[in-house]
Amino acid sequence: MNKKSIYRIIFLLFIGGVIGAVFSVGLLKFGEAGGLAKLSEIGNFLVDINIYIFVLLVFVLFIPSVYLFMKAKKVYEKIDVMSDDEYEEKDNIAKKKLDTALTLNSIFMVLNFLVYGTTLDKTSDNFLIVLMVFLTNILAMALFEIYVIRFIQRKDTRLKGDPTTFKFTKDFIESCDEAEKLRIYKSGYHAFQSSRSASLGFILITIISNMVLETGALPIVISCIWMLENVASYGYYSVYKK
Amino acid sequence: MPLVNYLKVQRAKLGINQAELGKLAEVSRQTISSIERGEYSPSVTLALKIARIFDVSVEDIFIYEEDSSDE
Repeated sequence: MNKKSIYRIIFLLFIGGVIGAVFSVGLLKFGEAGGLAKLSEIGNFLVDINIYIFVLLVFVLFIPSVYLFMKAKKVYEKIDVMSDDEYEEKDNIAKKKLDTALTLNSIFMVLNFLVYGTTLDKTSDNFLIVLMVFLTNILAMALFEIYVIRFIQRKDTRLKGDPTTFKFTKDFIESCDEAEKLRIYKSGYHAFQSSRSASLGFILITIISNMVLETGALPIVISCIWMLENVASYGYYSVYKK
Repeated sequence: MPLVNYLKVQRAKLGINQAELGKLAEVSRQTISSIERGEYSPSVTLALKIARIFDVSVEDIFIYEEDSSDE
């Protein structure tokens, strides 16, 4: 390792320290100014209105994702008889709609879990109603995703895999052609890279939050497990090398 | 990308569209389109498979041309 690399590492460590110190001081000030009490108030308010949040998620995310899929489906139903030039143009439009629909549906799932997990109150009168609404949303999301995947498979019969089984991803990727596989691997790699940076950031945030606000060790443990998952890529690499 | 291709020309000679070629080569229509646009360079296996469909050599469809800026 040359001197330049060592200086760069020391500089990055210094910058990390400064960011950590600023974040710690910020959190301390936030705690002293009654920020925690305010957060608690907001939390209680969200618990009271959680059922409306679930309904809002349906209107903001789920319905638009179904709408976009229906639009894409209309294009795909006519696309087979189009000329190559027209096909490319329409395919790009439909693909964007389909990708956006699936992304919105995934965000819908994550936010449903987030709202359910953070605003659940076992002592609340509407506990069972909230549970039912949450389960309905998750079921709708899952059924919609299965429907979209089956539609894609009907349009392109090369694509295999039963979306209701754990083997789906493996079977689906295996049935893709080389260009599709490359695209999937590239996007997986980008997701891995951003996840790696994010996990490091979360470990720092959870450690500082625990030191300053005593948020507990569990978030730190979860962040570390997340990072460990990322480090597992080295293990996979050594397996594939053989 | 230094790989020039005449896939569209060969396809026109045979009178088939991207979807039909995709079926013959067992790849998607989008992959054929990406190859024609020069966005994707096919593997040796796929290049040979495509050449066999048209009954020509790989060099009749794909030509490696050095970029003049590299020299």
